Amino acid sequence: MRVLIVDDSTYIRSSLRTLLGEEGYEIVGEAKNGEEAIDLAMELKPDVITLDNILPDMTGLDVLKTLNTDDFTSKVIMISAVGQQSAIVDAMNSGAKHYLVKPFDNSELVAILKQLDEET
Amino acid sequence: MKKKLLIVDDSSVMRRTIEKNLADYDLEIIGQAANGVEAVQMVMDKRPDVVTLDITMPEMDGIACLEEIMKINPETKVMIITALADKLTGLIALDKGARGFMYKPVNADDLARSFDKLLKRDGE
Amino acid sequence: MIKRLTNLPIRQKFAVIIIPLIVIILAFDYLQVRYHYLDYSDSVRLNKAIRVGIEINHVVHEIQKERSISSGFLANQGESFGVKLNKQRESTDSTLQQYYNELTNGDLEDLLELHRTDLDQLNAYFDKLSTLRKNIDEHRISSESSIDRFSEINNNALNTVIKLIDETRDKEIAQQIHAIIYFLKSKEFASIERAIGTQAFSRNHIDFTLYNRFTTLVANQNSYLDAFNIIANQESIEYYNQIVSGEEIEEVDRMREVLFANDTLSENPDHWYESSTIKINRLKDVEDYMSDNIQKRTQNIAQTSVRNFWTFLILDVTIGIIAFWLMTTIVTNLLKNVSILEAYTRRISAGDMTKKVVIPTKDELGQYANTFNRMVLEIRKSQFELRKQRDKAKFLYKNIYGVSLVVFENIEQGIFLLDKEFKISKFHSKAMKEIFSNDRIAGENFANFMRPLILPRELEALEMFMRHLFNEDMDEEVVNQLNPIDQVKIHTEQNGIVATKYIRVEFTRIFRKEKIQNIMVSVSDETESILLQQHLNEAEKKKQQETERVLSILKIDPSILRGFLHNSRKMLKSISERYEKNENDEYGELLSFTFDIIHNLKGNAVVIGMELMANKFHEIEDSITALQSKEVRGKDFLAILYEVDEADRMIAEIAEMLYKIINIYKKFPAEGDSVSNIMVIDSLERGAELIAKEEGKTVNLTFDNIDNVVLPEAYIEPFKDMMIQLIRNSVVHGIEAPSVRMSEGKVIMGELLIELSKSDNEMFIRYKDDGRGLDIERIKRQALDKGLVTDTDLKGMEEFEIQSLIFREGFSTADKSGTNAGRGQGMHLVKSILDQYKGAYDITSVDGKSFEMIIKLPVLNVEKGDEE
Repeated sequence: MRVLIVDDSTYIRSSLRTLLGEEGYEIVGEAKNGEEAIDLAMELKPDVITLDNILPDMTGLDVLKTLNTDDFTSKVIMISAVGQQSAIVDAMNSGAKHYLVKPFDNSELVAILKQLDEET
Repeated sequence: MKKKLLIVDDSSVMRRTIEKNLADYDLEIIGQAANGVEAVQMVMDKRPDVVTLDITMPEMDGIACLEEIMKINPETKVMIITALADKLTGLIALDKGARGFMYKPVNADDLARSFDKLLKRDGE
Repeated sequence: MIKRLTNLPIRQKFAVIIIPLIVIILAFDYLQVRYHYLDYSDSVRLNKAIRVGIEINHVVHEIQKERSISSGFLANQGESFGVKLNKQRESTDSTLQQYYNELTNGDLEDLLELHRTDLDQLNAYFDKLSTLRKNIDEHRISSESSIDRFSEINNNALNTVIKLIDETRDKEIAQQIHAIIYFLKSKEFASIERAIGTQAFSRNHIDFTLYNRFTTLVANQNSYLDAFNIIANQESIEYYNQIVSGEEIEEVDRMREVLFANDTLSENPDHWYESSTIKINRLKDVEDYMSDNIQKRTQNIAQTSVRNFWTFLILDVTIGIIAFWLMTTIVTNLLKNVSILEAYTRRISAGDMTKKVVIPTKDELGQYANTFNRMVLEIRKSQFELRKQRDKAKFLYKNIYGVSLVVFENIEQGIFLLDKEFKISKFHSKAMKEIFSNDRIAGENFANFMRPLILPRELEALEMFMRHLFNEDMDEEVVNQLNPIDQVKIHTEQNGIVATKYIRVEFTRIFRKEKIQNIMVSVSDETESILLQQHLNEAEKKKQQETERVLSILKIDPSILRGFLHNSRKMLKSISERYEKNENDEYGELLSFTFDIIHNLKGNAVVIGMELMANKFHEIEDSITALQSKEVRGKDFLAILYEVDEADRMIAEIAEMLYKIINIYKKFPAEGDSVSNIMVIDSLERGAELIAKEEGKTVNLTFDNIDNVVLPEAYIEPFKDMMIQLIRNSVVHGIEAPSVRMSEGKVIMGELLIELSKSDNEMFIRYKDDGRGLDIERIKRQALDKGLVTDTDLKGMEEFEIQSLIFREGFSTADKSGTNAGRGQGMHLVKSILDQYKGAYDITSVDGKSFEMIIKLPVLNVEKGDEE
């Protein structure tokens, strides 16, 4: 499974890279803002995108809406901060497969990824 | 029963006028007399209930005739119909027992009214 | 059900309405009160929990520091941090002691009760501290493990805090509590970061596992900070940004980057620790600030709740009391008003209307009371009105005589009553006195009263009439037709002056109880109108006479009248012509000529019955006769001419009138000559009668055969002219006075006869009277007197010639001068006409028996004759 990580926080990106690497997933790219996320997603066509909702240039929801066309096949895990639960509903309606509320347990993310892997 | 009427007047025109004007009344005209003598004879013979009587007549004038009629039957209703303007004569006629009084020329309305009274008072 | 409700007494009805309302209000208020009470207790408990939480946080804060120091101490095998560790343990214990002291505070009982298990568990963890410290002192534990052990305690402490405070129904507070929780977690991670950093810098090395842990710590720390930033209120965020900034914080970030880069970790662990501690202390400041705020807020809420609780409680009680009071007042007032009305109504029905009902309220009952009062007032008014009318009637009844007097004073008619004895009533109108000029009226017998004023026959009738008036068997109208003084002339006397008056007296029966009680008599003075009527009648009569005069003119046959007028004008004209030709001033002859003409015209006027002209011509005759005795001058004759002219003018006027009439006749043409004959006969008869009347004689004019002989139009005028002259002559001279005729054995009425006959060439007119005949001797004498003949002439005359003298001009045998004869002109006219028409005549006179004249006239060939 090829994964694209989108988060403005280097620590989170690093933390996720380490975690997913240990679990055996291929990190095909990392994006620290919306623009990069859209470019990489279209270029790399990853299987999974972990998408933080709070990005410097746009919201994760905007990124999702931009990407969500007919030939868009990547599965998006929407990650939002506590207190932004309303964004999750919009994200699910816009094509996100799963969501996580920060801070989350690593085991939660792993469980979601396993589930997505089985679906494919 | 119909009341019996006798018309006494020396003028045939007058007699006809009275007769014509009383045609609507429930009266039986038993005769007409042209003078007092004839009149008294008819009263004696036919006993009329009502008599119209002129005052100025030949042979026997109305007053004398009235006296005779009253002697024969005091119940006879006598209506004086005269052209005589003298009121004393009229009053004498009332004294002698006449029950009605009219001046000539008579018109239908006056005659009707006078007869209404005469017959009505008789009926009472 | 509804019926039972409507039948309830008013008080209960109100209760039915109001009590449920009050119950609803109270229930609502109870909910409010309860809500506020819960708010209050909630806030109070939360406040206490926060207090406890703050104490636990203090402990956590100190343990966090102790964790870092212990971590450093273990990492460099006790080379450094030894002194620091001991100091830290003291301050940790001190805060722990404070926490335990807090727990013993009496007002926390309910909270302790609620969170007993959690707190017991927390205390157990705190008890583990001493064991942990012992292991650290003896280096029986690794640095990493010590961090985990401390973290475990802190974790438990933080969870306990969360459990304690995460319980409020206030949304705002709940959010801020979560902000604190996120912040506490972030701070805990920051504290672990400090511990890991201290360890790493102490060893100058960080292994892979620790590094991973470090990045995850920072990431989580940042995530909780993000969450804090989202849900914390503006004040807290601003406070955070203000406090957690500056060189020290940047220094921590710089050293974190060093750790993250994981190159050479040559930084002094003390420096890291000090710097991190400054940052953590500042985080602790923010945490305290927020806790303080929430505590204040919960206190505030508690106070508000208390205030609201009491407010609503007082409000409830007040509403309850007011509602009850209102109900009681209204119902009491209503019941009172109703009972007032009830009592009043009872009084009205008992007939007492002297008082008004007073209801002080202005509700329906008040209005009802007003209406009631108005109604009662109306009843009283109409009662008063009735009483007034009754009193008025009584007054009128009592003063009837007075009133009638006043009435009588003001009536212009005489009015009084008659009783059965025909006596005049005591009261009569004032006008009576004026009409009869008599003061003694009252009490007089009316017949006696009238006795001196009217005729005895009228008086007799009046007495009889009054008797019949009182006779009920007699019809009033019948009797009234015979009112003898309906209109009567009376003679009154006042101050010796007798006045004639016309009065109208009318009688009317007055009944009482269907019996004739009195006769009302009204007397009106109609003198003025009757006098006026008489005047009018006289004027009318005069007018009628004038009309008759004009009509008398019109009665005359138009052809005769026209002939008369034509002839008159022609003859009058001949007078003026003769005058103009008169060159030798022979006025005597002219006068004679004039007289002759006028006399002729007068005769014609009389015959045709035109008195107007006859009179005029007679006046002219008088004027001429007056002149004949003296010498006539031109000036004298002018006066005559003037009169002639006047006559001419009159004739002209009549002619004009006639012209109009003729026009009418032309439209309705007459039937020829026979009609003309009749008109001639008529006018001759009238002429004869007129003349005879003037002469005091009577005549009978007989026409013989006149119907068979038709006079041609040309002969009508001459025939009439001749006949009238002959008639006049006969009546004046021939026919004897009645006494004479009686003595002579004749019938008094004189017989005149006119007979017409005709042969082929001649027409015969026979005129005859039965008078005394012509007196030859008198004719002779007269002719001599007038100077017509001489004695010598007479001696040579035949009888016929002497008889013919009467036709001579200026012969007149009568002594007196009247309209009809005596001027000696009449017979001359006959002769003139005969001469004019070439006629002949014969006279036969039998003395004392008759006079007869036969006229022969030639038959005219053409009927139109000689009209000019």
